[in-house]
Amino acid sequence: MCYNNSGTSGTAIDYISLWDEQHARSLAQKERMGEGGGKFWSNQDVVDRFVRNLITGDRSRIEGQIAGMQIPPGSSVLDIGAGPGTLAVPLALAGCRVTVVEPSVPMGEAMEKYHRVVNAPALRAIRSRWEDVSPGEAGVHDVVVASRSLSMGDIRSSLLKMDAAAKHAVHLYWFLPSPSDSGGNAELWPVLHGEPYCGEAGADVLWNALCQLGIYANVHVETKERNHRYASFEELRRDYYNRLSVAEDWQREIVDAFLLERAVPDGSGYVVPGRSRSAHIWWEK
Amino acid sequence: MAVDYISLWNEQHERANRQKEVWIDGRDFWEDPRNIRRFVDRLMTGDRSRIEGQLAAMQIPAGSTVLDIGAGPGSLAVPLALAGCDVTVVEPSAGMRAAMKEYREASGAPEIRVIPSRWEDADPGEVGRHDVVVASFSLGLDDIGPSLQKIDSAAKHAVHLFWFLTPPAWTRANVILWPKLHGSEFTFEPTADLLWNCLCQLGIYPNIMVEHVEKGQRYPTVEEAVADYCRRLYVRDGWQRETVTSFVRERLVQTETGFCNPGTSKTAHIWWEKGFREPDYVL
Repeated sequence: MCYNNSGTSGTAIDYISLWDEQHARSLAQKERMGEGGGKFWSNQDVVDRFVRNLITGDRSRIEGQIAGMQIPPGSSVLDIGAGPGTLAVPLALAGCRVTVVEPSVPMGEAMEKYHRVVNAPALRAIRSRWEDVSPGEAGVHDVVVASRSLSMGDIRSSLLKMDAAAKHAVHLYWFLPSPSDSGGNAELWPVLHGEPYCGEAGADVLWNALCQLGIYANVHVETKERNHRYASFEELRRDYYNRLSVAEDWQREIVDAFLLERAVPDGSGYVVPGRSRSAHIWWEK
Repeated sequence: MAVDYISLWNEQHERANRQKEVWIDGRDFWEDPRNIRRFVDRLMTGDRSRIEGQLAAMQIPAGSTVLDIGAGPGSLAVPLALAGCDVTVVEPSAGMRAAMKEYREASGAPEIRVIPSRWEDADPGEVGRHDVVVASFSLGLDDIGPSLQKIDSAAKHAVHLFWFLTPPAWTRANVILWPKLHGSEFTFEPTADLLWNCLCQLGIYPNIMVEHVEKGQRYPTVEEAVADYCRRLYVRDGWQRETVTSFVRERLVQTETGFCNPGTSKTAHIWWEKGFREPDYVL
């Protein structure tokens, strides 16, 4: 039970509102740039690159996540914002009964493909945003997972719905802000668009929001070398144009100059080196 | 936009501290031999599950140098010395230091180096650098920014902090009774959520393991329970004592070994390793 320390805390910050406000700002900025409604995640180039990274890329992060969650085989798992099945497919292969929630149709198709290639057991798919899934539709599962998919509004309802859908444990993965290492967004956005970049709130706000809901979660912080690989400089450049909502030649020149300075060859492809910090936030019920 | 957690901590800590000064007549809780006696008794004969849990969670290899800040009667320092660590403690209370000596000798643990000082006043040169720095339920520190930075600087490999994530069970009495007894609201020390936010603000992004504490405070007799609550509530007058006595009698539950004021709370083990952020400087 949560003990309400009423009247004794001088630090009543409303983290839930902080999260919702920052999400709304981020969303508004994306919409102004014509990138609202999850358009980025339905872009076929983005999906293709994610799948390629999934099949041929460095699997250490995924393996680390799966080892960190310690989900026993035979568990039922709900994976929210499963993308191309990054965790869902390996979990199904490991003997879990997996349900995914994923709004993007191309991501859903990519997961089908990935799932066939590795010959994993069938998964149940809910083609929807988590915010729009009813508790009845979501069902109750041994474990609920949401990996890098917490770009959600109304975080109170979204988190409470996750908690209610879990019998044993909830595992969330989300980035921890590190201003020097956004891979260019925070640096380039103001130069390209004349306004600061509005990212989503980080795992620190998320953890505090959970405390505010009476959920006291564990945190494990991971610092990783960024290793997302691009097949060519052209692909890298197109991804940055897309992420940064670049439309004009003068903007392309700025991005190209940035990438020529930062990107380094990696085998036959490219990576933009840097470190990123993320948090595994989990609680048992 | 950016919240200044360090100022929030300092403000709340100062409020909590001020109320202690007003009601304690300048006398520290830890200088009271009765409080210390209870601590040592519990260490020698009581339930060791929490301390064993803490030691298991820290996984400090034998042979490590360990700095224990606010070590109290040696709750962790003595078992760590027994386990083969080279332990230094920082402890301002003479009573606590005497209790640790008693506990260490009774358990046959090797020598422990003692720095008789508050952490805020300890000289970094004298403190030195240690493989691991520990501060267990001793984070009621002033000027939290520099205090935490000093903790981080004193560690070569890892830092382990333990602190209340929700106010411990006994503070429920303070929340309810303090206004009746003293005419003002009770302020608890800032909790571990704020501590974690302060550490993030300092660029340290630590891990957190939450521990659920099921047991309330336990007492051999009702009288001892009442006396403990009176001490914690700084009771001086007869009418105050009556209020506390009836509160405690209403809530106390008999157990196999005595009495217990039931209540759950949560504590946090906040820890970080030093690998990523800086090279190993030699002082």
